[in-house]
Amino acid sequence: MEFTLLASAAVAVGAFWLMLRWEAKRGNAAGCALDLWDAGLTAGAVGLLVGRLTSMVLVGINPLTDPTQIILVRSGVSTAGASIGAVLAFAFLARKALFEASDAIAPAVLSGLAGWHAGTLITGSWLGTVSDLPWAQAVKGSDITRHPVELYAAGLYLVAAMGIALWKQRGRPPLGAPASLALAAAGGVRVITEPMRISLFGGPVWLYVGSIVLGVGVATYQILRSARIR
Amino acid sequence: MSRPAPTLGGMQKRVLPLIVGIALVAAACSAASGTTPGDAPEPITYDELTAEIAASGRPTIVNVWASWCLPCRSEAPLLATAAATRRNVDFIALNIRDNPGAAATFITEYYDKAPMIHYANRAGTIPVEMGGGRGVPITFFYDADAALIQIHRGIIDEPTLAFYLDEIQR
Repeated sequence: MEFTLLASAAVAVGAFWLMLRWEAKRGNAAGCALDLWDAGLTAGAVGLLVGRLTSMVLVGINPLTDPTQIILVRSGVSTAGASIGAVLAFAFLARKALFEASDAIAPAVLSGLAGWHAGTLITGSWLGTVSDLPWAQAVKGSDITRHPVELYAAGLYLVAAMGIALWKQRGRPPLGAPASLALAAAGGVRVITEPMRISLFGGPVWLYVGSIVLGVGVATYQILRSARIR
Repeated sequence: MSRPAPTLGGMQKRVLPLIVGIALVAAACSAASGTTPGDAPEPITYDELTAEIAASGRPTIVNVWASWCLPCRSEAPLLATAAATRRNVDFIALNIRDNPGAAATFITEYYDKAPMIHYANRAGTIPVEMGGGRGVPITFFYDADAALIQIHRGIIDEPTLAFYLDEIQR
């Protein structure tokens, strides 16, 4: 039994918690009645369950005939199922103040994603396609150097998280714009890094592109609407 | 004075029947499933297996499994798909510490259409001799020169399988 995935998840949750703490001291979510920590973890847990069920169905394992397989998260979680499940769960929890709560949690979610990708250093699956760049790395015992693709993703997510957090504190962005741009950034980082990732089936690029279109669209609409009101 | 009898809270009253209901449905569905057993895998020795890997001249994956192993059941569809899509790699499925009938049923259920080579090692000594261990599942990755590139213990996920397939094909 190996527990590297749990360690990686702990890094993600830790990064999520750190960003919430850092932002809370700077006035994040003032007046927001929703407990962001609880809502974020609940949405994450729902996303994990939906992602696991989706993965099982996609590979042909029936969750009704093999219910114990649900706990074997190590064998696969569908990114698309998990993302959609988590977003819908959070939208339900924050339904009374969706934009306010989404803006408040957006940088922390991006930080959590950065932590998750950085956590692949623990699981050992952080390298991608072959590269001869100076910083390319090889797994132990191999002379094939590769892109540290998951570290690229972690770095990009962290930059996006910090950018949106600072924008919220200093720029007074229109309601919903930080969360929308965070959604676009989440998809954008995956689109950028996907060509360097090794996969048997390829990632759900439709989901990433959809996130970018939806995120940029809503953010643009909210910014233009805000400018008109002023 | 006697204490009042403990009662279930409102939440527990709702949750308990739900859990019992789900368990009953799951049990009913499990009992309904079943597949016709095919042929049991042929026995093989350590020397025969290593000779076959060396003689193939192709990258080879040896996945060690047992029908009673839940994680093996979990990763089987992924291995079957990989075997069907990576035709330049030999996939050997080594069944250990199992009874032939259960192994045959497992193969029919998961590996029926997958281009894999099936062997059995009832005593379960081969993975230990290969440098792995006694636990299942365990997956060995060999390159075309029959050099052992990686031993993966436990369930293998899609990125890890894809990564080491890439390593052994270079």
